[in-house]
Amino acid sequence: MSASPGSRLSDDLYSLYLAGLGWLLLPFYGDRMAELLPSDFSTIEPGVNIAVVVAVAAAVWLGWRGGPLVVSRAGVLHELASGASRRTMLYPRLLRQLVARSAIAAIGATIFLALSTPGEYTVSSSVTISLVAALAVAISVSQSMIWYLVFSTNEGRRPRVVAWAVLVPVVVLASLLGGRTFFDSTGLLSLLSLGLLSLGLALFGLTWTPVERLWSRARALETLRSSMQTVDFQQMLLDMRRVSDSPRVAGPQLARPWMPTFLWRQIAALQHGLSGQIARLGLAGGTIFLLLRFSDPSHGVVALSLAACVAVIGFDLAVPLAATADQIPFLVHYRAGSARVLQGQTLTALSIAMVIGGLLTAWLWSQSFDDAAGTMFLFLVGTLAALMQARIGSPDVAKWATTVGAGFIGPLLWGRALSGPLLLLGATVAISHQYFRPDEFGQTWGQLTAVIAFILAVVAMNPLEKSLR
Amino acid sequence: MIRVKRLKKTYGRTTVLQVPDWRLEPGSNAVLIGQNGAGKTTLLTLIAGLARPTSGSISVDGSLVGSRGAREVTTFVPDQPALFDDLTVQEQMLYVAKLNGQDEPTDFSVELVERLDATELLGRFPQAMSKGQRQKAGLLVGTARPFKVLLLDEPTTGLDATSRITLIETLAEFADHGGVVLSSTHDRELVEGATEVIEIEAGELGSQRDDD
Repeated sequence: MSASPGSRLSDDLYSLYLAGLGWLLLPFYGDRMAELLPSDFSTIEPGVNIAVVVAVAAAVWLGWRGGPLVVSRAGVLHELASGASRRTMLYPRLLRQLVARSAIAAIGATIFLALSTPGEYTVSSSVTISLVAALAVAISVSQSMIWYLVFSTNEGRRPRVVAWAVLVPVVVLASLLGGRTFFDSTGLLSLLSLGLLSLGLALFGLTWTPVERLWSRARALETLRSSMQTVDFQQMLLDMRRVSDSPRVAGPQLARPWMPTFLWRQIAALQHGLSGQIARLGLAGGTIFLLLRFSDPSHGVVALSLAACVAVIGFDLAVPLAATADQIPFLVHYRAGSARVLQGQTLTALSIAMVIGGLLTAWLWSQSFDDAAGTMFLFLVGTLAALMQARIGSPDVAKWATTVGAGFIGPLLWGRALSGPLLLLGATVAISHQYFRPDEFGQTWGQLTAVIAFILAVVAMNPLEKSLR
Repeated sequence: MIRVKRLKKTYGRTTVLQVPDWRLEPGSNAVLIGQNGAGKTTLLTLIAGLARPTSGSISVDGSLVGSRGAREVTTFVPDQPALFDDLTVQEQMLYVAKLNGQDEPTDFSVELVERLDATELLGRFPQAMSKGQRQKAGLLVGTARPFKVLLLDEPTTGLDATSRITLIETLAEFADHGGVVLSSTHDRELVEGATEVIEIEAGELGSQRDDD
């Protein structure tokens, strides 16, 4: 069996394992899957329609940048510039992007529903909103692909594809304007049809992939990665310009093409400078204060907002710590002798935990300590689990262990990779059974909660990789 | 084998390359020389189909660049090797060969492994390699697929003296067997081993010397 990039057998098995766990999640939302009937859909809040539109917009933005349109230099050179069919090379990437983004949308929509209507949401409504969000995002990702290809190809078939591509958003908009909900059987069927049509168009258009543009961007991305590793912000800004979707790579276009150069530079400097960091911290801190002062932290959405604000603070404070160990936040970069890098990740996790701990301590004097502590605890569990998964869930670990040739490390790291999703699953089960809900925090703090938190913390922070030195 | 017709490449208002009618026949072992920024790499990437001409056309083996016909016979090894991070060199060679309909890497690349004394590299991942080793790996992976036209951007950069000479000899042999080699270089030994030396100056093809 021959290997191909990103498709090692171990990676595939690991993906299968993750997908299996994902499916296992469904029963925890109930055992009434068979009761998925159109009549149940009307119980969903009308405001969710807006959430779908937001999800579509977000997915268009995301889809424009990822998937088959971001190919490594090796991918462009050896796959797209080879004798193989470009469509054949790219469609698995598109499908992976669709599946990943749709799954995220489905999970996000379910969480939104569960938190916004505590104790009221049903299995059918949960499944339906997940389905709608997934389909909506799949449509928008396909659409963004189509439009990107339409605008970046000189092929003569453009008008026909434009006509088809326009049809889809027109139908969606007409449905919205006509007051039709996407949550009845007709709406779902429409969405499904639009999804299939968009996917077909996107697959068809892959033949026109602008290889020269992907090559330029791949080169720029490599440079960008290099400058990020050296925390060279000045170079990063220049590289980001080259990575932009502008048609002329060497031209004066910017990552935000509508913005004048001088203004873009000012904003970029603010974004990456100390003042920007202070502004972000201030905004997050202020929002926390306002949420605690004027809203009910026991409400799921408020709790989630609080957690998001703390996440902003935690990651912002983690950046300088991570940088001291050559680690870039949000990126996993394994290489031989990367113990220092992995220490940086541990520091990142540690700093976030410290921030949360500090906030919890501060709230000791608050009257709503239980609510706040419950919210923060929920966030802590999620953060630790996510960090652990980001560090060790990556299939890169298999390659890394092979590279260093330490036979005993492989099983150890894989054990942790396998345990990460299981712990996430455990956390989900606990949440779904209201163990971690802020409003229940005071009553249900028990041994199970403590055990899960302890395991997550130990596994996420213990630097097993020090054995590699 | 390579035919260029009134080629022009511009970025905005700046013309970076302008080539009148020009061709390379089978058996050519040509080198592009010129100062940094003269347009050598641009010409190579245009022929490799990794950049689009502003005007004019390029064909390789009778097919327009970018078409499947041209891609099937052209391989390009850039100055900074393009390698998959998650595959060993051997896996990459096999993968590239299979993408192009072959069960095994080409004899050329297998022989190159021996000649460059690169057997030890086969089981390694790119991230754990030195610059010279990556250069070798890039050559091995780039030539693992069938090709008639071999485009090389600064191929001897980072190689030790022995490997450089070996590579130069290998390229000459490939051309002797009817292939086309087009390299950009500042390496005097590579220039001396070439059958044609093409000078690019400020984006324009200058003097062409035939050493045969």
